[in-house]
Amino acid sequence: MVPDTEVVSRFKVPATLDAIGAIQAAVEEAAEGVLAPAAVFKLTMSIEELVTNIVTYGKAEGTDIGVVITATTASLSVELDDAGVAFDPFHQAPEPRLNESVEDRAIGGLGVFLVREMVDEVAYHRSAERNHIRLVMLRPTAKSDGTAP
Amino acid sequence: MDITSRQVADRTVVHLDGRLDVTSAKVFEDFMLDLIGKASSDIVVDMSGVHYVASSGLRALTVAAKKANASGRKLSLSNLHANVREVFDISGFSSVFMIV
Repeated sequence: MVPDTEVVSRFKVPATLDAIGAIQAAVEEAAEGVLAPAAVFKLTMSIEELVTNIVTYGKAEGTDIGVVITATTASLSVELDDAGVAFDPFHQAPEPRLNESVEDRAIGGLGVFLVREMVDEVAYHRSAERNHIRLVMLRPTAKSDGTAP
Repeated sequence: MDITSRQVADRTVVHLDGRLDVTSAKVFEDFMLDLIGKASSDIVVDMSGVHYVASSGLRALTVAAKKANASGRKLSLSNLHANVREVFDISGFSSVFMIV
């Protein structure tokens, strides 16, 4: 059975670093009582990593980031869309070199690596000249037995 | 992010309170580089007041650790919360930092 999808929040924010706090606050509110605190941390940290990349590297100044937060009985999802240069963070970001010593380590792609490790499902597509990123965190009941309650 | 440092026996203890994120990471990094330039003792970063860390925070810690190592000092981390520890574990930083 396909779970009913409810749009919890839909808004736009200017593509600046201030967007991070605004989106995180909306996600924290939507996740209240839905996700465990550890999952909320992983999701909000992932938003910081991705929005930082959009603002820092995406050449998205003067445009908006679109945000849609949806909930189902099985998951909470955050979709971000931006008008920056076409970039699939999950396939185009450089892989971090995790085994190097502190002296040798160059931090490349670490943020995106963390997102992929911490979020249950990630997806990217490009349409209408915008990047669309989707992050899905499964609710505890859905994760434990693989089915929606 | 509040940052304080104090001398405890032969070590300098830096206490962080707040989010180690893209906004605070540069402030923290500048504080640490200044401290390492002035202090002659080993440094412990007390993370008990940090419940949130992003890759920008890890990057700042790496820069500080490189400078400390280059000047013959040890930089270690203490009192990591579970969420923060998990970020260190996933990123491989648990093995490149001394965590006490």
